[in-house]
Amino acid sequence: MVIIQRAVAITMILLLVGCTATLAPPYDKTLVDGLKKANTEVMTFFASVYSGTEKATFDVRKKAYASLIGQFDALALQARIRGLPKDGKLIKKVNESLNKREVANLDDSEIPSATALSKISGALIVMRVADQKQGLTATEIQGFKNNVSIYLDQALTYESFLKR
Amino acid sequence: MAINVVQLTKDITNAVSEALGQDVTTLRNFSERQVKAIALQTAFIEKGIETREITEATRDYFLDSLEEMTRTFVKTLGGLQLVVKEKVYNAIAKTIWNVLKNIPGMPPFLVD
Repeated sequence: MVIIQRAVAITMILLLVGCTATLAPPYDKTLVDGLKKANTEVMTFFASVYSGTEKATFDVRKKAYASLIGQFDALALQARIRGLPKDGKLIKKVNESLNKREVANLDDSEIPSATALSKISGALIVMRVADQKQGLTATEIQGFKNNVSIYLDQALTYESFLKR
Repeated sequence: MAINVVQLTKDITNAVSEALGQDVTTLRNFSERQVKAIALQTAFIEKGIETREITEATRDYFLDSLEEMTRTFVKTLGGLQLVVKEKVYNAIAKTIWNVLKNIPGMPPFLVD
């Protein structure tokens, strides 16, 4: 009886030791710091153009657009290159569980914050094109600011949550 | 040595509570913020298009972005839940391991 108990215990230990789970990317402080800095800069930019822009003055903003788009592209890349852990069976089981609750699961190629950061860059590119073409109304600028704020919340919440 | 199942259950429950900490509140607050912000943005865009303050140059982007923001929100929520599951799983595994490693006669290579 004692031998059986020990055998069961050893089996459980081997399973536990082999099954420590890593289901999400590691926390990256430099990425979070970069996000906070870019957040301040993009909100400062929105504040500087809140009343609308004119096509004629686009050149004044050209450098700011390039700087912000470059920053968010770099942050998206930094977030993406960590990749997701390849804990195949466990990830599959967790994804099955998420599917049952009708929550979108993670595939190997998508990190939520990286996607959100790419969307911010995309929003700023659309904004720049429209600004250069015809200028922007105050409503359009507020609309872009709202979108960027939503994506920033997603990226910052996710990256901060990885500190575990 | 028999394992005290009642104590182990209590230890696992405590470990899970400790692992979760403020996570449930964080997830709930994030969801509420996002749902509210996306709903407000939907109304904002609708009004902007109606008043033509959102011009043709940006209209399609804003309409498409509503779907995109919702998709990335759901993906982020899924990612956050995955982190919670990892914490809970590891907390339970660690608690069980701490009990099992104290069983007399356990091979040294497992205890060390």
